[in-house]
Amino acid sequence: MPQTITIDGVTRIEGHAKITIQLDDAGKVYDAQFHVTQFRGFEKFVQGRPLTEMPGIMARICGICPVSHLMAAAKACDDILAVQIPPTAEKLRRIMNLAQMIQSHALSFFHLSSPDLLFGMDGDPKQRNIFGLIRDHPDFARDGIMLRKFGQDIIAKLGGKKIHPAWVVPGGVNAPLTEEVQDSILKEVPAAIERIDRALDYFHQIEGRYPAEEDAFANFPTLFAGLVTADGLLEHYHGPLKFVDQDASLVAELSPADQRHYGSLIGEAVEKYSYLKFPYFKPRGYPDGIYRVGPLARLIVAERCGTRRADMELGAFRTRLGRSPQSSFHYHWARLIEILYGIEMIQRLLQFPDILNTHIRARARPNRLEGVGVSEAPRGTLIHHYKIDDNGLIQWANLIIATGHNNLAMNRGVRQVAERFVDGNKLQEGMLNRVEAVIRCFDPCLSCSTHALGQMPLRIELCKADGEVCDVLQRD
Amino acid sequence: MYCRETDLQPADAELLMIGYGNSLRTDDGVGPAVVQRLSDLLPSQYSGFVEMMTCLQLTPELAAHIASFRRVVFIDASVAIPAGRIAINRMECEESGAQLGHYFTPGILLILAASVFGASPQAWTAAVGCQSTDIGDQLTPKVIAAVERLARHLFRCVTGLIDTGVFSPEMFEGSNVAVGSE
Repeated sequence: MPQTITIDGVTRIEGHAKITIQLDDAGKVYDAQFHVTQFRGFEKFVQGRPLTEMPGIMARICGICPVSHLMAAAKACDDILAVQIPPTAEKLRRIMNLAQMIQSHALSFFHLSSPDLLFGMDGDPKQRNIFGLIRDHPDFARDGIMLRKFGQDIIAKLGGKKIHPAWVVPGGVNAPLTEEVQDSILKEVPAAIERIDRALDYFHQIEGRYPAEEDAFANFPTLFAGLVTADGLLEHYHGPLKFVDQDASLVAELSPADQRHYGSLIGEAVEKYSYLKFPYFKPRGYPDGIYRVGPLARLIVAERCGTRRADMELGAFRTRLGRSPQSSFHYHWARLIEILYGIEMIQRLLQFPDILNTHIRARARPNRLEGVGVSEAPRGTLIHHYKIDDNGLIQWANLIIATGHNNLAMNRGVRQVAERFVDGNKLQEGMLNRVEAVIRCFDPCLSCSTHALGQMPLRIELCKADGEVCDVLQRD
Repeated sequence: MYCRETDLQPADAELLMIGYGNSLRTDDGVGPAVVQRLSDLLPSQYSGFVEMMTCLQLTPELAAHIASFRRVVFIDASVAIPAGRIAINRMECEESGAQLGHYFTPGILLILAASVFGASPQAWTAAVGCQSTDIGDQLTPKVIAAVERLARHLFRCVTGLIDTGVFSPEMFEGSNVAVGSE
């Protein structure tokens, strides 16, 4: 009799989600789905609000990556104002965006995913958590904390606070960089480089231990998408949006000006089982137009990083995995490379001669009734699209968040892992941990909420079609 | 006296007060409100002795900061106690077994401070029962009253620490479990 396993909720991710795994009569997996069970509604309730409020409101979407929404919202407003922001303001925005990527990647890798890698997918859950990490690998945990602190401190120094800074505004930023802050950030760079170097050394010691996971963690051909610079380098703030195929060959590209027409390439489907939209590459249709974004996609889309150390590490990445590795397991390594890149690029940006310039904001009234802002969030490409009326009030908004781009791939990945590892006749925690771990590779950010009043336990029930529970695993 | 997150420095201060919560979700913002009120009460010459900070949520890098203090008080909203009620508890550094997400608990921060940074500050949680966590930037009346009571209690504790070297915020109105009432 067909049965369903439900993992509700998925742990060590941001937000609320569950996974269901359908079993056939023989206890073999025949389908699996990743359900996002929460609803935010920002696209609707910003309607009627003044355009100038958008960065401040949209940053509230997320307590982890508020800077990303701040950037995309501000860029959409720049587009509506039809202004070119001052070069110094663009550099400062880039610094903050990279700082956020560093802190977010550090949290994802060191604290959410590394317990699986350090203790094994089948490790004792009582050990395979943050406490085990602290107890057995305190130096590793310290490096993770300090790298996150490096990023968070930069955001706080630039924006006045770590979460929901209001410093990025339409037309630029609202305060210049001071020499004191510039020096204080630069002073921390060498230690940050040392920490990520140690983490990479550590990662290289363990990365080869998971051949089965490399083989089955969302390992299938898809398109990849991400921003690049005009000359094809890794980019997180502004540039052409490229789609490449599984061989890293160009499929389509939208210049910054053409990104207003992202709808020509990106469609948005919905499914009854999830509140998260399913973006797809429109020329290939739904669901064949599956693509991935985020750290792995960015390293595939880009020709190289453009900073010395990160390019050396990218060389090692490609030597071992090839130009275009398809397994989402490699998001972890890509995340570490991007941390290294981010530190180097922040150092470079801070050393530009105009970085202390006080001309940091262009001012204008709305000159268009529609604007699109595209930037790279830690988890991938982020698109904000607004329409206003003649009074500058928002009439319509559409948001395509990074986690959404990956929705099709996460669902297919969950199914692939379930088919490979889950035996419905005898549930084991490690099997289901792998189902969650493939989701963690993407580091989805679902709730974007800072108002958490409790911890969701993990409860897995194996049920018969008539609802009878025949096996249960509980993790408090 | 009042320090925003941007002012964080390795501190030699005796005491750290962290008020955390979302001030756009009505009573969830009680922690920052208490810290703000306490900042108003304390004379400026106390600034080298006690540091106060507010944040939206607890994040892992705070472990490095609290490790440099001898004492820390975490001030937060609670739905587990009646609205306006105040509960202050001494914390012990022990594993909770909780799964980790994108925000941290005071307990996890203490474990991180001890295990990763080798410091074990004395720690307390001060919880204020909240009535509403709906969208809004105003505290409800019972919680507003609790802010004043708790801020004044903590003020007396701070001055007591200076005068006598003793800091026992959990001792209030004869109780060491729950203090104050609506």
